Amino acid sequence: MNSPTTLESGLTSTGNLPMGLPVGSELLALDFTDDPNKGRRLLHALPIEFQTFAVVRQANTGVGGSPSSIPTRQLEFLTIPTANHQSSELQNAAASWVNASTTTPPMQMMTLQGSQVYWNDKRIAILAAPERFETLRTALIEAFWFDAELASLERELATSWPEMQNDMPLAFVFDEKSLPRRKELQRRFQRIVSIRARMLRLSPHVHSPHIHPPTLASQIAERYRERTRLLHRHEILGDQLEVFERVYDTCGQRLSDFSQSRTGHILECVIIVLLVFQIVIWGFEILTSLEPATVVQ
Amino acid sequence: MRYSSIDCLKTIAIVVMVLVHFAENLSGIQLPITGLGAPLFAFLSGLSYRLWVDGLEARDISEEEISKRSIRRGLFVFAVGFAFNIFVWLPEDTYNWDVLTMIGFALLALNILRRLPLAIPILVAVVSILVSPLLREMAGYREYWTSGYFEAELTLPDLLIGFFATGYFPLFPWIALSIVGLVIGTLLSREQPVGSTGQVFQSNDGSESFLSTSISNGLLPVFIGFALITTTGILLAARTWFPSNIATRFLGGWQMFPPTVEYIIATIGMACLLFGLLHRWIDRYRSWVLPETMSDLIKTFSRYSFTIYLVHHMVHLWPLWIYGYVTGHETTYYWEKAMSLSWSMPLAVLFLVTCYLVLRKIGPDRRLGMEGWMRWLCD
Repeated sequence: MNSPTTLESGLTSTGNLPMGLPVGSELLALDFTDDPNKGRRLLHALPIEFQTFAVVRQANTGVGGSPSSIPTRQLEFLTIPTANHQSSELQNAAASWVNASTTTPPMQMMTLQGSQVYWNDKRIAILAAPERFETLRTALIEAFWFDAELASLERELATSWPEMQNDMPLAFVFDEKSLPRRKELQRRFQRIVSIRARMLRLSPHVHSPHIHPPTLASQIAERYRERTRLLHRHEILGDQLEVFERVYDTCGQRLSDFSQSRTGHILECVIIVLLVFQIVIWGFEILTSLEPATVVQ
Repeated sequence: MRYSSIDCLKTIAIVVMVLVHFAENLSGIQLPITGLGAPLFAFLSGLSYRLWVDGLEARDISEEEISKRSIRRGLFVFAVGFAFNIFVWLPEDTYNWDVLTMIGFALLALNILRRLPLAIPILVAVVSILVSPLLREMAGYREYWTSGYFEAELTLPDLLIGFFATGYFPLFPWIALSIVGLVIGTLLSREQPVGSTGQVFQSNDGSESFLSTSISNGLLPVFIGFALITTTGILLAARTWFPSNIATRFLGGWQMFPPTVEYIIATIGMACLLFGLLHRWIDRYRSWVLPETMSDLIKTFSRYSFTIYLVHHMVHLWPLWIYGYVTGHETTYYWEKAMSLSWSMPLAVLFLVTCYLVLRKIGPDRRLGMEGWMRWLCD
């Protein structure tokens, strides 16, 4: 059933396409990149604030083209043209294909307006009439990217908890011994700000109200957001970030206060040391004048 | 954390001192390595002190308790220094201001300096070195050394002058070595974790300065040591071109008594360089570089270095005093003329071997000797 003619140029080999799919089934390997290189098929441009483009992966390079455009993440997209999205044979094939990539997180599915969608964090499969492919694909690519971006932020923050707990004492007291950790703290603060910025760029898309009248694309996106609990996760991430921001803000304040007072402190110490040495010399002068040294015969 | 590099340096220092003292006191001969052991010892006192304090801080010992222990230790070493002078060099040399009294006082000073920004200990060390020729000049150093050894009246001014400037190991400039040890120890604790893996540190963001990269790599002591030794070389070579006042009164050439500026700078450089190299290579590749036997040897000598320092004096000086007394001479009659170098050197080696065998039998982890007493009394 699988014919190379059903695949577009530049796609991954037919060997990746599951067996038993109808003619017209298409497997796209997508890269999300910040540079839509010439010669690569641009599938979808994400909203402008992300500066990210979904392009079809070059079959010969494996990844998206020039070294300057290393993909930020990847996705495999299977479209199966069918008039009957309830066909258990096709559903099984699509579900097996999605599941084959990974078992964690578990595969999810939704049925909407005569189309069936299966997805996890690596693959998406759609069973639908061919004329709906373009709409579905665009909506799903966007929804997938939002979900993946949020998951990436969650992962990044989750790995930062031990570091933050380690840095927590510095929010209370900053001393001479803490000074070598200045750059480390700076880097962590910048990372937290960067996570917050990325999270805020997602906000309008996560919090966008339902569109009326609903379209297939809007419904798909809304359903995807609900299934992946994007709104809830986004809020939780915001709450967690607040803790980090509070700790690193205070650390920065303590560091700044300490650095400023330290400069004055050093200057005072220098003056005291020089005065002490002056007193030593002065005292020594008195000592040597009081009692002449004994000349031993 | 125990550094094999420090154990290694302590072993080198103690071996050098045993050989030098046997040669000097028994044969009256100065070996080419004379004057290299004591600076290393003084430097290591500062370095070990920093690591000891770090260890206490890591165990959440309070700042007040650390200060108390530091003061007790300083006073203990100071008192042992006096007892050593009385019992080993005999009572008339009670106030000759040997290395132990200097280190004891230095520990008291380090307790204050450790809490200050690094720039301050560095300033104190530099001023200590620079001010010492001035103090010697004011005191009339040569008048205390007319017989080739330090002698002073038992008056308060002479005692203080000896302590500060004219004794065997006067506070100025010798305290500079302990302070530099403290500074190097502080820098050591700033090494980044990647340093301990032996990998060469590479900054991800390119924001690291040469200084911080050197600290991370553990190479800063090497650079400092190299720079100081080069400076000394230049000073020694250029001394004849300086005005005579500076050349004779401020610089003075290569001498341990008095400890000239060049000598102190060079020995600080030597200590930094040796420590830097050993730390860079032995501490990170210990299993490759140090065989088990060698590791055991340096650990043993290091743990008991204080005890060995005291015992080796007793072993070779007390027989001299007793023999002098028994034969009806001054107790110090045979000092520097008891035997030839061909006898004193094998005796020094015999002492070291015996020492190692006895201490190995005791075991490096047992709290015996002077170190054990110090811990029992001060910690």
